[in-house]
Amino acid sequence: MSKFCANGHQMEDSWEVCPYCQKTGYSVGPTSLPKTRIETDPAAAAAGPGAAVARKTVLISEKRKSPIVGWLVAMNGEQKGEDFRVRDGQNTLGTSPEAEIVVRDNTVSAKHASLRYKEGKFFLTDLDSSNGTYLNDGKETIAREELKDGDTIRMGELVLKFKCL
Amino acid sequence: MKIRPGIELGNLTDVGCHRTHNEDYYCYAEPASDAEFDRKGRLIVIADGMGGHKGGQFASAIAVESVRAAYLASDADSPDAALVEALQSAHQAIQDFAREHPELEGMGTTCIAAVLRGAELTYAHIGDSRLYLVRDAAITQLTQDQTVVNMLVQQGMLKAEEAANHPDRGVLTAALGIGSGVAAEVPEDPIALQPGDILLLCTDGLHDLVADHELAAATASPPPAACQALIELAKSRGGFDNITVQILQFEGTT
Repeated sequence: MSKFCANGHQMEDSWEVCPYCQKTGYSVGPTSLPKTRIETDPAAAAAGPGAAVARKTVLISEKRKSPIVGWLVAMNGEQKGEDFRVRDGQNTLGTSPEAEIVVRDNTVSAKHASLRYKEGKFFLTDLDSSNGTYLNDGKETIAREELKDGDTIRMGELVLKFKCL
Repeated sequence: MKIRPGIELGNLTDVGCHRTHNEDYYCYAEPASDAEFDRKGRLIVIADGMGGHKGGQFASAIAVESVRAAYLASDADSPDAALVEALQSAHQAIQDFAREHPELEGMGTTCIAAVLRGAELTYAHIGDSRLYLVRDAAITQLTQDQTVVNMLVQQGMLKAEEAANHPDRGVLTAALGIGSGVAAEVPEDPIALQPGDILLLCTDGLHDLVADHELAAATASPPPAACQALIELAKSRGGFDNITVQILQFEGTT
């Protein structure tokens, strides 16, 4: 009979450590959850078009974009009351159809600002817009600020309320 | 670990030729005490995770760890009831973990868990990882894939040969960690194994590229060599997905 590790994975006789044991650090029990943050995997993101060959296992409802991590709600203008989904990673805000979050307001630039979710935090960055990006009661346009739940963003004259998941 | 006599075991996993991470996970376990071993038998599990970021890796790891812990700790009278409990506990554990780590939201996994107690086989499964029985060189697929394509085949809307290369054949109708309930399938009655019977568990990375009769032929070799040969065969045909296989040859009860 071959050699097996504590998890029943077959090993070469010369191996001291099992290379097949899971490396997420997860173990059963509420006190043993890993403390490390889960980071976006740059290798997968950079895999490029060739990666399309690889077949992935997906659930029927899972053929979709990255998960929703928050929402923006328009507080004024013609889209008042409408919500916009904020997804994991980079969300560009603007009037351009290429933006992830497309708003209709003639005081907003095509690519006005970017809202990025990374490692549990949200960051809002002005993309050198014509009419500026403002946070809460701020009088000066921001460069890059962390967003918190309930913050109000103003792009040009459009006001959006931010809610995180 | 020391495996009790009565079986020959082999297992192996491989990331494949196109992926950067292995989202499959697996284990083999026996209770520590002989009294518990008589009651619980041997547990063998494979899971194929899915989800963005490291969701797939977490989902399959949580499933395997939770199924093992819950099965070995269960007070249920029969192995099949204990297995269903164990899958439910894994489903809950995946959802709880995703709630604490929003980056992992939407992760899920397939799972095939089989128990061999004495000569009695029972199992529970979700998704498209498979359990096969090879008896006298003839192979039977014991689990039915929970996929959209297989559902269409069973409804007579798609022919089996059309299904084999259908682009959506990897799309599941059920997975652990996703949805409100666990849609595990278990056989009505345990199956009595005969000495020489072989169990083969694998993820779709293998059965997608290697035909049933080729799986059966490979099991003529001892389990460790058979696992190696099957993974190499799948990789020689493209190895599009992660590949995991476990082979258990039943030698008889002593």
